[in-house]
Amino acid sequence: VSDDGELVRGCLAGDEKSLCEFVRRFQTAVFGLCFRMLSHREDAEDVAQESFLRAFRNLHRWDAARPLLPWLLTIAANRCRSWLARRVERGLPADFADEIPDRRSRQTRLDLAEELQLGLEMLREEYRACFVLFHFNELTLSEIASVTGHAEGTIKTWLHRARKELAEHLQRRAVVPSISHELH
Amino acid sequence: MNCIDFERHLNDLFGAAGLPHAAETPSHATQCPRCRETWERFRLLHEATDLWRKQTPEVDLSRAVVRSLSLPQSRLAPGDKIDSHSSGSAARDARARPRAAERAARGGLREDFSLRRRTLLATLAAAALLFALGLAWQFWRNEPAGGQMARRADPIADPAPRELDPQRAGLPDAEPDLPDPAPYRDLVQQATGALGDVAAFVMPGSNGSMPRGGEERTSADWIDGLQHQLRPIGRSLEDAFDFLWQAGESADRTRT
Repeated sequence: VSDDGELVRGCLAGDEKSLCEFVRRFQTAVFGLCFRMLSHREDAEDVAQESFLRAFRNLHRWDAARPLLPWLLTIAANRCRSWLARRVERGLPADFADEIPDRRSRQTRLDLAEELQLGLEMLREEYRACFVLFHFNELTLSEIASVTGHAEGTIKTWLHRARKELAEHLQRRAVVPSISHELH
Repeated sequence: MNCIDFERHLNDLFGAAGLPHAAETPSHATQCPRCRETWERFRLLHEATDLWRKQTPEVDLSRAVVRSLSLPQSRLAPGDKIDSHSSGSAARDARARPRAAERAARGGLREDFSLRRRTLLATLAAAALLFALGLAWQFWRNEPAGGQMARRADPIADPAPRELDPQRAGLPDAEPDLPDPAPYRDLVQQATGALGDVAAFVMPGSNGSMPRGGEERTSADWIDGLQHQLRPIGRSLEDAFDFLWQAGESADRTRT
């Protein structure tokens, strides 16, 4: 199954192979978004699974003229938002601290990627979603606008602010060395 | 190019083809220290983003999702909540994943909390229902008593005994439990004959010396005093009945 439309038709017909193929084709994007938004692997797996189930239940509503991935990411982004809201209500999961490096320990030297994820957690939810959708899912600004329901100009501004805050975070965490090397 | 243009240019570069290497630093950054610092920060962010993108863990959700679809719970109406802990959760599916037991315990804690919250709500609802029932019962119970109290507090509204009301005296006796009024009537006649009319009656609670607007009653008719539970002035008596009682005794003494 190569084409998204054909894949969707197979899923709607209840073909198990098509369902598996559908999940395999999009799970990296969906799970990646969830993982980067929630910063918690098991929560991300649950939310990604829930997103796929919701997508399958609403697959008949998908407009075949539009790309499938942004539609799927819209569902996943909404599920992440709901999950984050519930997390605020019930508190962080017990093993959250194990997933994320200790943010108070400055002696622990984290690598760049971990520091970046730490910085992402501190961003506003909208900025974080923009950054992840752009830099991880590689959506265009217009696709992010359709996923989040905001204007393209707003997305561009949010993305710029997200980058700026992340760059400042890396500098505050002393990941950025003081300017010592020569620029040519 | 000024600093603002440089930052805008940097943002565009970051979004499009990625930042060029330090070797390709724009000329403005080599001259402006502030922009050079900004350039450094963005260059490192670019590097961090590359690493960060590659570090996303691999996962296979296909089996768990398909298994969940085969469960009846997955056929709920759109918008219904999916309990990922009771359906074929991807997390539960991956048995080899670390901390599965902790996760199950966490799920249990959530369910426990939910159960506790439901129990608390049910208890509160039951307490509120009991309170409302108690209030309703009290209201129902006090309503007739209140009415009686109101009737007691308003002697004017209390109808006179049938035997003392001249307008109702001729009507048939509808209250067979009342005592025979004849001896009482005789007593009244004797008292009237012996002592004559009382000078004045006042309302209970009034000392009679300082008349207050509309509240005091004066009457030469002791029946009126008895009927309205008035108090005779200057006789240290509580009510007209005491007066009548003494009057009766006085009449007896006179007769003897």
